Amino acid sequence: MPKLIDSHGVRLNDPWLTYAGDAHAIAAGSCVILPLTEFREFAGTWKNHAKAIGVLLSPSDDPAAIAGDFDKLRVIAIDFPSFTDGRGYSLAHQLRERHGWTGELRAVGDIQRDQIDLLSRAGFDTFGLRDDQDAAIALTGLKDFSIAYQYSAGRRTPRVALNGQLTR
Amino acid sequence: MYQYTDFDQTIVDERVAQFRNQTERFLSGALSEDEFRPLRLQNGLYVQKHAPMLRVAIPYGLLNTKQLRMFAHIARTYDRCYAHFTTRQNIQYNWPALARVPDILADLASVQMHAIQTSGNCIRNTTTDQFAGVAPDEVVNPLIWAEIIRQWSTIHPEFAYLPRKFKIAISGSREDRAAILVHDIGLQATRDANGQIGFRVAVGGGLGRTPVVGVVIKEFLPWQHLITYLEAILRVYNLTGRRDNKYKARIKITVKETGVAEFAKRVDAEFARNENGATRLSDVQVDEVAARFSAATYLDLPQDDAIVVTLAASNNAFARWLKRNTHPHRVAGYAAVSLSLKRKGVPPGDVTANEMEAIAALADRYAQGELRVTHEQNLVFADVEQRALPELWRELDALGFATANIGLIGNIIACPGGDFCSLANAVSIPVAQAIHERFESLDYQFDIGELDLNISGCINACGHHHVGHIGILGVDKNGEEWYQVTIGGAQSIAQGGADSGLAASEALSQRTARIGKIIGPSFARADVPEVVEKLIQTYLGARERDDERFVDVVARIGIEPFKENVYAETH
Repeated sequence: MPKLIDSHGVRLNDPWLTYAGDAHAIAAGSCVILPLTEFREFAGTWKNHAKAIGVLLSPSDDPAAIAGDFDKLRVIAIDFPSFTDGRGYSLAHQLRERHGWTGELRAVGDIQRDQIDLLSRAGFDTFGLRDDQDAAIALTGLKDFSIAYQYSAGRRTPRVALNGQLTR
Repeated sequence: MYQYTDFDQTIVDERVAQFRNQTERFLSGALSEDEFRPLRLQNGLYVQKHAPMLRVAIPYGLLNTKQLRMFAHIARTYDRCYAHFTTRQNIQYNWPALARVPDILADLASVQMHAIQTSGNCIRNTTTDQFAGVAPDEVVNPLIWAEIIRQWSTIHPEFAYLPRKFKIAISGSREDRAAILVHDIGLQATRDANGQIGFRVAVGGGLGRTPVVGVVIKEFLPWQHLITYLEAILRVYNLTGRRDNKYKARIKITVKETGVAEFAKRVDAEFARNENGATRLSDVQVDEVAARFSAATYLDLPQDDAIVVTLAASNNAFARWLKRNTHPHRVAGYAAVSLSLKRKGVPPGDVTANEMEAIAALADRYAQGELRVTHEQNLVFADVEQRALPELWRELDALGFATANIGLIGNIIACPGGDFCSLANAVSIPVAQAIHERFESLDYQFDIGELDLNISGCINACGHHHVGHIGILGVDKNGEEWYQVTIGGAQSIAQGGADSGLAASEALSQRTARIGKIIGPSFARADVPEVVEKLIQTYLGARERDDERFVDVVARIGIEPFKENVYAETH
């Protein structure tokens, strides 16, 4: 099971399973994360089968496709097939700022220690680490910077940008 | 000169600590080569032919003497006592050891400098006019805006893993000395009828494999929206730019494949959604940044001081230097001065540690302790009293930085080329030196007049060969070095042709960049100086007035006559 961390530390007993084409692997009453196409086609079926539903977006998916379904979702995960593919950061911005997603936003895939700070500031709040990553070391990535020039997407804390000036 | 706040300093210090940790993990084997690569690149560190190469940011080319002395210290302590000023207003060290790079970065941080985002697929150092703040033709001082862009783009969480590198240039004057139209984003700062500051925004310019002149997608963007609009462009690019082929990943290809109108529409839509969001700039923010710039102090001095006029009348060498290497200043009695780093036997842009310290001493004495790096790989003292020019000239002459070749054929722009760079197909520096020698006579250079000769050792075009009046590109033919020649390129030229007769007020909207045309099959290295000579002879035979420049003649008569002369059988 992939290691999951958030700003408070390691999240044990993550309930979420990701559907990867084998419905038998998802027991009834589970919490399941569905790829966008599966969610679009079979959300109704899964609603009866699962305890809670989330969606997995690939970097080429448009978040607008689920903007009307937020009330059905408990988590949105964005896949990073490679840590150098930065599309997921902009998807996070769109989900937080444009569509107003306030629930859990999870980064999954090639998630390593040295991208956690950026992901966190881009609006992600949970990080499903790549299998070989050490969770304790990855958590130190959140402490690399105490401040930033940019406001963080989706945060209700004061929006600080440019030299620590409050923007408004 | 912008003075860091504690906030700025904290970010730079924490970045050093972060990279130290990353370097240690790489050296211990915890980070793989592939995992470390983007991290080191975004801290300026390349792996080159002989050793790692460290590229240090000189934000928008502005530098104080304390920082220049630190460059000298670094050259001595960690490198081979010299460094190289680049075409992007940065400085490069060619021989540092990887394990010591965090120490270099810590030294830089101690003088408010860094190497953040000088490489990698992220937003690079924003460049501007070397005469920003002092140019008489300036409409808006671009330095404050360049600093705002620096802060916004530094470790921006959303744009650290773009499809490809991303370069922004900004100009605030009528003449574009920052080549903004060959950048991913080109910003022309201007004022509306009410005097309000705004930006004309061009996207998709660039050199490299596919040279493209940027297209304007926003005629006037009020300053409050600068960051929001830049973010909109970057977001559309980040989401739609190609990631399947690195040669098609620059925004110029995205714009071309999407279509300019459609691209602009997407940017506008993205912008509209965030227009009054957190990135909208306030007066307070801009004023705060502006207030951190130390202002030059000016005395009440007469224009054209007698001591200068008298010496110029009696001393031809001084008169030539005055004509080529000093530049008008918005304040009477002051001038900007170019230090030519194009010297016989020295690679363009290279300066030794001793020379840096000597230059720093002169800048302290004559230029209020500040200097600028130009994209032509020279240095500029921006605030020099005219009455001190004779003295400064003698000092610079003694150091070898007073060659009166600014804007002339001797002022060759050249990338490091195959001698240093692992990307290069061919050497650049020896070609630059051979041409430099061929045209060493200043009499000849003055006769030829204004001419930009730019050399790149490969298609990545770091030497900006596409926009040289004469451009030379190193190419590989079956393992041998050959050189392709283009003519008629220009970084900023009147649309449709020559500059003559164009009023300054019209210039802003009518200027563009132009990509040079290839004259024909490439040449062996040894033949390049002779080819340039033939181009020059063709030009001299065809020009109608002494002030008709090479590039004007190419615009008027086309490349054919040049081609005929160069490729004519000589036996």
